[in-house]
Amino acid sequence: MIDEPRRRWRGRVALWLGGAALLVAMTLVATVASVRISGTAPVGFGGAAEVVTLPHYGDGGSHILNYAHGDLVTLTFPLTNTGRLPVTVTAVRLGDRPLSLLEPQDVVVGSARLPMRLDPGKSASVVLTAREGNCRYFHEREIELFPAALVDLEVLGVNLTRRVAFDHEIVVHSPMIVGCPDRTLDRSDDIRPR
Amino acid sequence: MRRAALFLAGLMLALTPTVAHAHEERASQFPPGNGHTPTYRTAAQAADVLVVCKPDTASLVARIADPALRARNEQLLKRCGFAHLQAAVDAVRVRRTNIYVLPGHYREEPSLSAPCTKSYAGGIVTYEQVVSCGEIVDLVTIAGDSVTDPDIVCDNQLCDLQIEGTGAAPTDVLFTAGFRADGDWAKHNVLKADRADGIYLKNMGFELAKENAVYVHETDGYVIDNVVARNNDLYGILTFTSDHGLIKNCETHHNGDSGIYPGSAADVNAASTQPPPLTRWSVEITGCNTHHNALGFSGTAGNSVYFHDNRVHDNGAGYVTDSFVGGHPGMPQDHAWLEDNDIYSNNTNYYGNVQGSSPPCSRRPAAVGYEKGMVCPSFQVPVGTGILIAGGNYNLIRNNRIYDNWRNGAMLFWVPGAIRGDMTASGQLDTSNHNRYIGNRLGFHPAGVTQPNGTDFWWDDQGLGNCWEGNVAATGQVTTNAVVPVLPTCAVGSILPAGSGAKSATLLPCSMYNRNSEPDPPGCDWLDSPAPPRGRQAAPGEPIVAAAAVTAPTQSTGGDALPATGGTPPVLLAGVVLVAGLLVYRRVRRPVDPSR
Repeated sequence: MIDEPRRRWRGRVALWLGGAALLVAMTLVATVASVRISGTAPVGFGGAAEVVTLPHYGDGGSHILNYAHGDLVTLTFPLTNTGRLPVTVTAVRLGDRPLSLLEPQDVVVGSARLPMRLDPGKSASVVLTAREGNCRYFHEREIELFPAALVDLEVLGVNLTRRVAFDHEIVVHSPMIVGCPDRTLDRSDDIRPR
Repeated sequence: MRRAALFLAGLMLALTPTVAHAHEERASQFPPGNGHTPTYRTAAQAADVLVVCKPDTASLVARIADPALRARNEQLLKRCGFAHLQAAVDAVRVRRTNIYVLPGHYREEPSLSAPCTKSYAGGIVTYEQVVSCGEIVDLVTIAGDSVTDPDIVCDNQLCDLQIEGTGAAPTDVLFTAGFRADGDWAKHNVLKADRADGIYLKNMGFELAKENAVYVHETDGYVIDNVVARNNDLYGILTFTSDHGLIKNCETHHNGDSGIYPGSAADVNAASTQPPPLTRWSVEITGCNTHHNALGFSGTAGNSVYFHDNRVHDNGAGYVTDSFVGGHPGMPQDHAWLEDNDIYSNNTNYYGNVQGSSPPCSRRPAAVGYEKGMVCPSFQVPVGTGILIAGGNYNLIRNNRIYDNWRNGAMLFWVPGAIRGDMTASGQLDTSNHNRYIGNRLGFHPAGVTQPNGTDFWWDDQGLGNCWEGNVAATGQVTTNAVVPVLPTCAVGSILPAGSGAKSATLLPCSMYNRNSEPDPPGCDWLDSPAPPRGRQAAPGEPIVAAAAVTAPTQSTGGDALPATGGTPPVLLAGVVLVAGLLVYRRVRRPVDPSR
């Protein structure tokens, strides 16, 4: 039989250990949650991109990108680790849609391929190469908007995604059938998965 | 790299002629424009007469009440030589032929199973394919140009063809494309007149096409007279890159895009800086009743359209013209003239038919219920709008009666050229300028009750020379969302080349609409039904419309919902509170040492 003081002592130890473990866990969560990547990035265009920038058209301005089927365009924008932990950039995407008028083909951050480590306070230039494609899954009067890049990160073994808004939304208009060699004229062919 | 970083200040306005393609169509161009609108021709005036009938035509003719009309049909029936219209068209040997189609239901069965269609592998249908096998897309094809010359001018025996239904009503002679055995659409078009200068269609009904009931393409001189076009997945009457047209006394209803669409109408006033009235137009549309479509009327590059004395009602939106969609010759849109029309009650919201987990429009076409009036809107419009100019110039909207459109009586906004693929500097501010709204009556129901529009004139404050003058509202006050306290009059006109970014922000999210893949785009409130305007009175015999709650617009997330990147996570707060609680607990539970 355990005497009363010993039982109380054990209870206190357990309580302290539990509290400490919880505090550590909470601190870890808070640390991971504090990971920050630059919120807004001016985007530059290259490759075959044909762009008109209208700072006062649409919600916060628009980069209107002309669709030319099969062309490769590059989007360049800065990425800054504004948090206090080093992060590993594992991917940069333009969205979660399975079929998009801009299909990412390649991503370079700084001069490195992904994954790439980005220390606190450091910046790197993202060069995302995308192919203009998939128009057959869009009708001829449809627009796709790209307001931001999605940056996948790894921090302390935890995977995160952060949104880096472009300075102006990127607007791409689906072409007519004469500009879309894959289109079949069969409307049942162009339904995208939802 | 071909980047044109453009800033609005300092840009000069310029109209840029467009070399372009068609809508979902082969590359198209305007005819030379030296033709003329055909006039109706009697049988005696025709070079030849062919007659089409069905086995049950005799019994249908016997039921015609009008003795003179019945006698005429009986006479024609004796000359009947064809069971299908396409067969008669193929038998035309001389220009200025009249084909009379007697009462009956025409399915054009040979066209449905034409062997030549088996070689079609998809994609653009060329004019050569239209000539050799129009059945690829059409139930009935009239192709008037030889494929051996480079022009698009009608030069064969099908020029100046007149086809007339002889029933008492248009739908007594009914052409139905319908569905295949597998449930898909049978044809894209019920009847297509391609480079068929001088075509005259009269007194027939056309229905159930995957795209268009009646389609006139690259044609100089056409009349569509007393035609019903209904229950099609896109357009009732579509004309494209055509000139010298007349569409009169038509009825178009329950079409998934618009009832009447004169797209890329010949841009005959492109060089003019004078607004209508016009002395030359590309198409006149009058006496038509267009209702219960997604759009009553639409016209991308609907240029020099003279639209008068029509009824446009109970659609999702009434009259829509735009410079929004690329690949249309004649951009930007200009010089439409709308006068003396009744444009009212365009509040029918069909978007519920494409939204949700299993909407009716997601079924196989044969099971959707098109023939019963199911409309599957193919294009995004602000439901409850009477007239919408989404990028256009030199349009005149005069002396119309515009009422009971619950969102807006008329909307006008800017569409930069880049949206339609014009990447030039001058193209970015080439709409919307010099549009005039004059002498319209707003909110006056003909029965004498007041049925105001939600807002009479919605404008994004943009453009040069736009003006509003002499418009009268039943409520006593013409309403507008304009920033300026008074809408500009025509002596002055508007003066701002660029518009409100906040107002233009609504267009882009809504333009992500796709009835199959993106039927309810985030950030777009156009597809929600507006509430009836305050002060709306019920017309005699009309059920009182309950003041429905306005559907809250969806807020744009600007992308995918992601965890917040800032602020104190709630879980951390919970942890701190817990540890603090433990400390307090320890202090409270510590035994008191009497020796201390």
